[in-house]
Amino acid sequence: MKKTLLIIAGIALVIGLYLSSGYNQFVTKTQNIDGQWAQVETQYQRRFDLIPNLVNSVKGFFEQEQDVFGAIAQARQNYAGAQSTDEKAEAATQVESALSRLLVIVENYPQLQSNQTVLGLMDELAGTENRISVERKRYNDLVRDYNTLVQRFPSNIVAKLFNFDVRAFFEATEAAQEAPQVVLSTK
Amino acid sequence: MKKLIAAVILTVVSLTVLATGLFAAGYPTPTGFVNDFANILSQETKNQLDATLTDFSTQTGYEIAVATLDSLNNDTIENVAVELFEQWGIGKKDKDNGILLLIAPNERQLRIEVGYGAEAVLTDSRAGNIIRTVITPLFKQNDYDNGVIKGVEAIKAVLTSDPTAYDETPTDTDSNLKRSFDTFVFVAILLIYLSAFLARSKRWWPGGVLGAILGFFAAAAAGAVVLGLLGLLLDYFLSKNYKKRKTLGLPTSFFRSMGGFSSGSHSSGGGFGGFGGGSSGGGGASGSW
Repeated sequence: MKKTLLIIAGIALVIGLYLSSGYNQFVTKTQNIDGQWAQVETQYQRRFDLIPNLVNSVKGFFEQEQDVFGAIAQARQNYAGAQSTDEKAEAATQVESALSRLLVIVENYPQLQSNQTVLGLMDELAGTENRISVERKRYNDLVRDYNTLVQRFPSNIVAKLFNFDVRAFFEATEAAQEAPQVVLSTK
Repeated sequence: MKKLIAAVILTVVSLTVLATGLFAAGYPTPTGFVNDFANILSQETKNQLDATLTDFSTQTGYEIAVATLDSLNNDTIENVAVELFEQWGIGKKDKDNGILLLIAPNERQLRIEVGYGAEAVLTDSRAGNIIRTVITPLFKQNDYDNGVIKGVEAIKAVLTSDPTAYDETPTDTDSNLKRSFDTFVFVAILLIYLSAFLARSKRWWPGGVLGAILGFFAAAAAGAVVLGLLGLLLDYFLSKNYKKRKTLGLPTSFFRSMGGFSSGSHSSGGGFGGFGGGSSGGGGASGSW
């Protein structure tokens, strides 16, 4: 009798330990994902801070490309008004495609290629695009890691028990999959 | 002597086995601050750069790594730079103050990848400006040695003495020349003054003190060699242990084999113990020539 009680207590202890460590694991991973999302947002903010400078420095060079500037301004507004993560991601990809059009235009204007201010800003923008793709990739890696744990046995039991759901990846639109290539040759 | 040769062979073999086992899918492990996998730099340049960068790291904490790769394997240089940076862990762990100058000579592309902690000083535009005005003009003349040396000097200058040296104002070569001439004059005057002082002073010993100081640095270099040899010897035993475990079918991972791998990294490169574990987030600039 005493023996069975001990065995039951032992099993309960093991299960309890497993549940608590499993729960903590999920909490840690969720925190990491949220932290990484903050990193992604920081880089987006950085990009938005840079855009007005670049736009102002190149605006005078081509009046005929006004629709690009219109698109960028519109996308920025959308981002500022976005509430949820999904809305933000969508607005961000709009900015991305408008920006890559602008970068292509800038490359086609040789007189801009020799303008030091424009070159510096283009470096900053290209760097920001690259940072965004790096942080986004790390975000997705963390989400993948977390989702695997949510779906795999036996950790899926813990996930169900404490309501840890599968998280959505941050998919960039196909056009914005790659950071716009800024090749500034000094020919 | 026989034992020494055996030790060397064993070290190389065990390192290769371990390295390929640990990083089968990754990049080669670094052997120092300068890793010329594409063989575009002269031995002299490599030695000189490695010494400079080791000093710079001990003095300022910044870890500047130079790497040349044979191929980017159809990936972008930005991706390769981030992965390499992550794998090597360039920069101090808590400061993330590493910088990677990555060169892919066959693709004619290069990148300065900047760790999180150095982004504020070595901004993207400064990095881009260094690439455009310092490095690529020399690379276009196939002068890889000077391109890398001058590039590293520029990075060092931005990080320490003169952060705004490569801001987006047109670089004035005259003032650059003047600056280096000023340094030359300063050093020359200092030397003349010093020898004049030594000659004039009635005491006979200051020359000895100066000699002692210089000798101290020479001894430090000799010490590195001795320690390197000791590391080799240590590795010989650890490698033997590794081999024994391997034949016995025991796990040979880093923790279980008493650190056979980490001790191996001492002996390669005369005291290079790997980078500090820093990380980067894609900052920096790329260029082509």
